[in-house]
Amino acid sequence: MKKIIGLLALGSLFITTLSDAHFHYKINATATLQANAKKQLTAVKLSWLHDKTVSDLMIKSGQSMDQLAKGVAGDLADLDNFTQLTFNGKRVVTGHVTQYQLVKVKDQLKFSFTLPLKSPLFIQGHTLRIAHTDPGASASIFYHHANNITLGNTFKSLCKKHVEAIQGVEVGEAPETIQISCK
Amino acid sequence: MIAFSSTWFLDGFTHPLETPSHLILLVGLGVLLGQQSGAYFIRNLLLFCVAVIAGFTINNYLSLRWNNELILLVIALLVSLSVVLRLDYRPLWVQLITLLLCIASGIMLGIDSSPIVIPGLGENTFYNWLLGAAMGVYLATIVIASMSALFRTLFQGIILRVLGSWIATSALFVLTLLMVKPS
Repeated sequence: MKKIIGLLALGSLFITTLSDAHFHYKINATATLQANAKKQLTAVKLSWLHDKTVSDLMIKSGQSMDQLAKGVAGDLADLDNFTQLTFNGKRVVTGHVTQYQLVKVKDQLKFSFTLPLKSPLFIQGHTLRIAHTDPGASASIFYHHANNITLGNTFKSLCKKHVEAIQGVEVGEAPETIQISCK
Repeated sequence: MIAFSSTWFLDGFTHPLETPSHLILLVGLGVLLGQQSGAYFIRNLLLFCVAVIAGFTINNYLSLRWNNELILLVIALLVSLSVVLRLDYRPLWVQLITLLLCIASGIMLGIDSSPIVIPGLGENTFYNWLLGAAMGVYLATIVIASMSALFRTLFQGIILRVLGSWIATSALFVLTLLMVKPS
């Protein structure tokens, strides 16, 4: 019996190792909530610092920074912007990425953009969740700490931010729970 | 403009060889094709190749939420059992079963091959990865089928039948692991 369990454990280890062979890269993210004069959430400004491997590949692709930025914005549109906003468990509809730019930070590339909401949202008294997933299961987007989320003057006194790593996350799933609870 | 990229080509090329369910099915199918004589071999191989492309296309245009791994392993099990039975391939119904197994294998391998799309490098990663994956699948099948063809009549085909039983065991082994995996 012990031999069978040992064999199964060894087999599962083998499968896990092989499953991880797919290309993966990491993005370090920051987010800033944007509000209008009526204290409604209008957009989320995101900034993604790509890891060195992907930054190198992008730089070596021979495209200018403007071309790359346009390409990133265009491809993200087809990939659901790697971002899902949910408000009280319901999906928030977002528009096309605006005000995007790609800059070089040392030897890494940082893509900053604004993700506008289709219609402004009163988040007071409710919870907003942000999840980042790549349908191709290659990118993993991390905030690591709640300090990487800026609530802005409008929501600073009303909301609390919370970032928590999800244990045992599968490839392609969001690695963190990002929650903004407002009173 | 799309340019050849060895990074993405190789990532795609190794994908079927690093994915247990793909590898088991490819070995099983290669042996099954190798058990058949020249004309059937070429016809089934060509249909399999076309089915892989059809699978890629289906995967690109339809968001199917199937349990691909489970389906691939069940097909691998059926393929390997056909190898073990070593049916006389001349009757029409046997030809039809083999044909269906080849087409189902190709389509499912294509559907389960989701290319990497890195925003900004979108088209380049997508097409190079798919080209690599197609080459990996074709080359593995052709090599295994050609080697199996050499052993087709050796010891009255016992070697291939024993190999078929090992493949069936492997498929069952991985299926078991898949079933006991905590959700």
